[in-house]
Amino acid sequence: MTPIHRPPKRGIKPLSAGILVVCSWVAAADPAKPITERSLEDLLNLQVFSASKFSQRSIEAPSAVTVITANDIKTYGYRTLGEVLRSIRGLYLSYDRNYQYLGVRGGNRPGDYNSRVLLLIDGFRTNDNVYDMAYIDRSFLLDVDLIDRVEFVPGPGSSLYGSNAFFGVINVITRQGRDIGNGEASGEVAGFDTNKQRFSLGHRFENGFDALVSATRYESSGQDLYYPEYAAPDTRYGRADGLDGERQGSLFARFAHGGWTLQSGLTQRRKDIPTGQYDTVFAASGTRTLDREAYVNLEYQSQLTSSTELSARLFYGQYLFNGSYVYPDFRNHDQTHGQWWGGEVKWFSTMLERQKITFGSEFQLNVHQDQYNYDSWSATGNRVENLDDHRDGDRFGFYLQDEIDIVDGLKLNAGLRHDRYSTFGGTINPRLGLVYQPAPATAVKFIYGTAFRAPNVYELYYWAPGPSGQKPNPHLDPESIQTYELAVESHWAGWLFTGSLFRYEIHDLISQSLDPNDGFLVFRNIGEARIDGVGTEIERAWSNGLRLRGSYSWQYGEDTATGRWLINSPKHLVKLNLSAPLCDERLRLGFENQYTSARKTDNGGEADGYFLSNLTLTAQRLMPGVELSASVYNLFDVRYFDPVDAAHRQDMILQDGRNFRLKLTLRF
Amino acid sequence: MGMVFSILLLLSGWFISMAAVADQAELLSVHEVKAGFVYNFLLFTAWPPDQPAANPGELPVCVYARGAVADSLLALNGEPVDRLRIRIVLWPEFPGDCRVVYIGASERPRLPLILPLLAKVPALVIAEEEPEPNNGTIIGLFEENHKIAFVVNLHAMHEHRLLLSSKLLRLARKTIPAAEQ
Repeated sequence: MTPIHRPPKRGIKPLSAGILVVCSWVAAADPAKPITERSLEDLLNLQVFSASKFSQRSIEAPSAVTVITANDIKTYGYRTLGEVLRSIRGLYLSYDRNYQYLGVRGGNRPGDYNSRVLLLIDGFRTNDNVYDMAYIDRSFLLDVDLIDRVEFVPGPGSSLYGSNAFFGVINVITRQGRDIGNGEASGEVAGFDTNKQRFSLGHRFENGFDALVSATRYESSGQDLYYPEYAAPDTRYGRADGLDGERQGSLFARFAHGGWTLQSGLTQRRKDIPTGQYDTVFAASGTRTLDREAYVNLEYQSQLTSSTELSARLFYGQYLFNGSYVYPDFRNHDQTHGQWWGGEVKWFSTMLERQKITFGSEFQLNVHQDQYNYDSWSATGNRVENLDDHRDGDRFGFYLQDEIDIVDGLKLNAGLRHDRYSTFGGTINPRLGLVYQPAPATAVKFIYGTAFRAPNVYELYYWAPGPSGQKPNPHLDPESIQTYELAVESHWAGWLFTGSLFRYEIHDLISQSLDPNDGFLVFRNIGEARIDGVGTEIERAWSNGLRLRGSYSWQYGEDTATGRWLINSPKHLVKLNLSAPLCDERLRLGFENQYTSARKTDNGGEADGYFLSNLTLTAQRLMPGVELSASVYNLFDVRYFDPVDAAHRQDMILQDGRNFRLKLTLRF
Repeated sequence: MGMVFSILLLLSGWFISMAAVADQAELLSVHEVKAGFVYNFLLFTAWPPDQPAANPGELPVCVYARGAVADSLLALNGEPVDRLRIRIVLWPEFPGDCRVVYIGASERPRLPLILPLLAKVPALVIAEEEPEPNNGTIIGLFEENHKIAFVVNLHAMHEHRLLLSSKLLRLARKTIPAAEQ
């Protein structure tokens, strides 16, 4: 495959030069007497900047945020971001042996590309500019070993983040050079003929300069699979042997000094498709997808005055998709090339008494949003063009949020954002949160908000000729959601308790349907849905090192037009994560249990509910600088299926049985 | 049009920031001052003699905090306290060796999950807090009228078997007596 890369055409350089000028100004401020030479009396009388909130509020929301740390990732042996997210209250996964799809509180329609969650890396929006997809499998930009923490904020985030912050916002915070020390080398072998290597260098230098560079390589042969839907002599009796391979590589770099952070990442993943998706020739090798995403994010944060902070970023992103599909006489190639850049400025101020005001503005220029599709015929060597669609566009938004201390123990958090798209026009999204603290350890929160998802370029302009083809619809409007949530958070006798009650109302859902006039599939704003639910979570750590996190959520999603239960929407989700030290903390055991109840499939069938257990044993103190871990996934070898979309002959796809992983990490 | 508007906003941000820089010179960041407090607290703390450090000559200061305050504390690395040198340890999984533990405001909601790990550890537990020191931290740092102040919980001090000098206690905004608990 030939990558279709073009260098950015315009304008990052002059802007960054402007930023540099400001930076040198700030750096020129007088260095004060060393802080260690000041006495306590002296310190007590010093005037200080008011408390910085930027660093603490990577995601600020009046809702119940869940945090998964690097320790959890290690303890429970998570291999992808998807697995990290699956351990969070109300979230679930499905996998069609091509991509992992995230379900949030009962919303995960097969065929949708994770476009209803916003996935940020240190504030950079990773959703691409063609499918708007949040990549949570190995096509995610970052090796999970480089994650410091993952924060998940359920509920609408459009009042702060704009499009895609529909069901929730995931913010991934990366490790820094200082967390690495000097270097790390990690290797793993796993079932299904899998191996992975990572090499990272990181350091914080005396002058405060922090650097981290890392490279990862992953390869898996995958499994030999059997699909009864293809159990016929001309489809190899349903056997797909050696067609589940996956290869992935990624690079990551992060440099920080003073208020500046520059980071960049690149990932490429190739996945063979064993399922006969899109009516391709079953059990023929060569049907596969390749995703590549790259980004650069330059961020500057500064305390302007005693009560004002500024943060600004410039970003550049690139996405390439190359799908190759084998048909009897030809091979179909589906390609996408996205390229974008933009900037954001955000002020945070406590200038007004009892108020915290955030004001910001963001823009993005989509330089390329191109889609190609062609057939190459093996017999004649002919190439038949089906689609050669070039788009560009832009979006901009500005937002205002104010957190007001009405009286002690009662806070109002009000936010509003306006977004304008070159494709459909404008939309305004508010969020109101009322936080009441009847006691220091208890908070009751009421949140109302709306969010939207802009129609993406794929839905607007993708065109496929032929008998069951697809036609564009450039008149799509954004989808919208209205949510009401009541949440309680409390600390009680060492227990952390969270409970929530919510209603989601979804309008103008972009759904694919058949146009009876011409027989073409087309995306339209025709879906309406409602999801009601409750969720509860407990967490506790004991002084002997035992840790527990458990959650239960019930949700019911209904298509309000038909009154039917939503597809791929489990009613019950249970998670139980237990971690215990063994042999005087030399070993740590991580035991994860999840229950996902039955889900309806696209063809009216039902995927049974299932229990999934994973066990990881980590040895960190056997020798200095050496860490060894062993994991067994799907410990009890449970057979379970995930519903998949109509592009498959299968209604649901069997998931991995029991498999293992051994991992060795050396620190130097 | 929208993009032009956004770029204008961007640029106006830079102008405001340039105008505001003059204001900055005589103010110290809250994080640096907090690091200064931590350093001073170490000078006025006595640890139980039966608990030698894991690495002789080192005073391990463990930090559960993110962002600027962690950076400011890192600057204390290698500074002398008596005959020991400070060693900053970020996010330790086994806090048993820590002699000082600093918990940043970002971790306040997770305090109930961190404190049990420190129950039997002879460590000076310092947390960024609202004025009232929470369950189990020895020193609570907070901000008031653009100045930093601190409170001391004597009960927690006894629990962790530490002694804080009378000078430190005198300068505290408030000391919570052991009996109150």
